[in-house]
Amino acid sequence: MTATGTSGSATTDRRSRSLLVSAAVLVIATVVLVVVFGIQRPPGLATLADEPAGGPTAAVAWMAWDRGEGCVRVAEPSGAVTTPWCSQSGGEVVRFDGEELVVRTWETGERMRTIDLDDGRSTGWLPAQRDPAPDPVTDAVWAERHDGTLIVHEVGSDRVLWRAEAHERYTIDSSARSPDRTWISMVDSAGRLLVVPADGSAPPRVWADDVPAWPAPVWEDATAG
Amino acid sequence: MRDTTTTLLHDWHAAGLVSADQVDAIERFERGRTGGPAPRRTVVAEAIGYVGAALALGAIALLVGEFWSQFTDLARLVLVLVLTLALFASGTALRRATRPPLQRLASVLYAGTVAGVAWATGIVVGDMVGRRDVEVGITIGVASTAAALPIYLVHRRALSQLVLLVAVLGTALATLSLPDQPPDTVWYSLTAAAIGAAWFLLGTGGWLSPRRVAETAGAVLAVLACQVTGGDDWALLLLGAAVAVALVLLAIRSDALHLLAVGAVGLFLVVPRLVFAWFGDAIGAPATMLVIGLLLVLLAVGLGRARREIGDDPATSPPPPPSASTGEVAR
Repeated sequence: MTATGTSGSATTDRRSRSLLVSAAVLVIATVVLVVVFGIQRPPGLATLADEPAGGPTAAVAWMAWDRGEGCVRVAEPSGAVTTPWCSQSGGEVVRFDGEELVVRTWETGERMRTIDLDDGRSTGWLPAQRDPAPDPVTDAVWAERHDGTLIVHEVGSDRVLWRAEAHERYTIDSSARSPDRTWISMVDSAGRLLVVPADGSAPPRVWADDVPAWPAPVWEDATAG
Repeated sequence: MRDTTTTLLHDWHAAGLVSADQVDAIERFERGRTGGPAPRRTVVAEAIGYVGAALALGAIALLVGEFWSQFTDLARLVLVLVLTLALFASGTALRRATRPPLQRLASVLYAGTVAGVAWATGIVVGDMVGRRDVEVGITIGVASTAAALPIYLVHRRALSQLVLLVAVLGTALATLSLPDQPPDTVWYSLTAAAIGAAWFLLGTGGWLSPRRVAETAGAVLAVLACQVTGGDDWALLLLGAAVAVALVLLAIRSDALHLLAVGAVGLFLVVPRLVFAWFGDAIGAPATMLVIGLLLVLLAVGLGRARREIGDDPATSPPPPPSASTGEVAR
């Protein structure tokens, strides 16, 4: 009787341990699978902050949501990214206006607020009808894929701007041409803001991270004024 | 109205397994140990208590919410920490209570403790340190798991186990979102399914108790993960169907109703999507109805066979009635 009981207990222990090991193996195998096959990295690129030489001469701005607030982000030609203004009501960057930025907000109905780019101070209000909602920015590039290679063309000329080995889910979500038409900004599916010469003379550089694809970042008109 | 134990005892007595004296002795023992079955009045009072507490907490939340935006981060953190500590202290005070309503209350208080830890972590990492949303999510997951695990180890109840599962799952899914380009949703499903399967195995192996809760929660997670975020990926749907079939077979083999319920519901969720994924709209609706009908028939036949086999098994058949004169009752 004792022997039977001992044997039964040993069987139970073995079964428990084997299921514990099975659970551990299952979890480890899943982690390995996810790390090896699931996590797909975007193509490696230099950053504009590390290599600013020969970069754009104008800034871009966009609105990003961060922890329940809409924050204006401005990427400077140097590669630095600043956050001059945030609001819980959020909004949309409309255009640069000299040293100020015009932002459409819905704080008290739809209104236009002007923001000082240096200190984020609100400098005034504009009637909404003076700046009707801008038309969606027309994409400046289109992309195709051949055997694991992403090929990015300029819209219109079909000039190849960039070729990169990339996994199948990697793509360019939105793009915009600078007002002087010498630069093209692109937001890729990894949420990176890339900038590339419109003549395709150099590969893209990473300007900023965590950038929403829509609406596309707005260029500063460096030729104005 | 007789409770389950009383019903079983009288059935066993009718089958000759135990004597009337033994039935009385066991009933006396159980009444002394648990205070007897909970009267309906007590259960209703407990339910009303929870509803009242939920209303009161909701009112407090509304009042605090009005001033929440005026509080500094530090004030918010202190408020949440005080609330969390109060919940933890109350849960610990009730942990050794023997009455089931108080044990359930302790579980609820401990669950609130883990939620409070998650909230406080969110304030520190998100509002005070200002990390990215995904990093906030991971930190909240890790902190919640770190709080839920010791609570579960000292309070092995169903709710504590489920809170631990949610914390582990949240941590894993948040970690998947850490790369610049998060993986395809299929990988989220696969990760959740693997956690569900591991939870099921740990429950079956006796490492997680209550065992039935672990098995049910793990099985539900594994099956749902394959079909909720799997989209039209037929491989994942096929995996979900395989898991559901395995659960049904296991349920029939071990006469486990909880696994049968999860497996059957899982089949009815996954199979139609699988049929649509394979055959499209051409034969979609009729084929789906046919498959579901056949599954129902197979399920019924399987259940009937299982019951018959259990009934035919000499090991599970009641022995002949004991002889009162010889006193050969199982003692």
